[in-house]
Amino acid sequence: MGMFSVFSVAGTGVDLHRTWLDAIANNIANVNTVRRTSQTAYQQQDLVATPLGGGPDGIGAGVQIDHIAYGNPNGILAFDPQNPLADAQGYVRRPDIDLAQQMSALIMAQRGYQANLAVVQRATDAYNAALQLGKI
Amino acid sequence: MDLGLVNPAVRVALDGLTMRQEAIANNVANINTANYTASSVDFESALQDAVANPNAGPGMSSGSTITTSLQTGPYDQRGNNVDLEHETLLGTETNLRYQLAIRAMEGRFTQMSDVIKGA
Repeated sequence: MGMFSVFSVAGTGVDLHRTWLDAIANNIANVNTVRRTSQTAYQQQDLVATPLGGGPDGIGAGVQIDHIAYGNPNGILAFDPQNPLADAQGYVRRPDIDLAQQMSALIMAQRGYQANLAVVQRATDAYNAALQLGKI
Repeated sequence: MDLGLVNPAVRVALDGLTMRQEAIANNVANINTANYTASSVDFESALQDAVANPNAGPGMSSGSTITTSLQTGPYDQRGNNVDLEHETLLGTETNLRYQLAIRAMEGRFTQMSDVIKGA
């Protein structure tokens, strides 16, 4: 078993949840990104996680990103003739992003990030106790 | 000459607690992973055997070994059964038991140090 292996395992969890937070922030930032009907809409990005095998002692080594799932490229056609990007019929393409779903995902990502950091904190306490051995 | 610095039971306990910490870290890392089943570590029966046969050294099989198994708790709609409350409580308990085992070793080390110094 590797020394301080809990750090590397919990580190993958911290890393994944931070990346997830980044993806959500990017989706919310683009919630009003309007495009021409001749272009594809901004596609919402969702992380798909998968366990990381091959860890110490036959226990998994944490988590990794499997792939990024993209949202609907057609978006939502909206009638907005005043928009400079509108086509001849007055339509633009808005992204198909469910803001409520993104906000709840934001909370899950934030709590997952905190839970992994709590594991790091506990491991630090335990390892610190082990490092005090021999200081007699 | 074997000074018997590390009690076999303490050795098994430290190994088991370290593995349990790794399993908890892995479960929490996968708290939002779809289709993930949480794992757990059992070393209590190995610890019992080590206490019952204190003369069986490392590598000499005294019966039970440390085992990992899958947890059977309920799954959520994503197919994930990590119970964060359970993992947090178990993690805190594991941490305290680890420090207790370290404390037990420390006592023995202090004793040996006193013997060497002739204090």
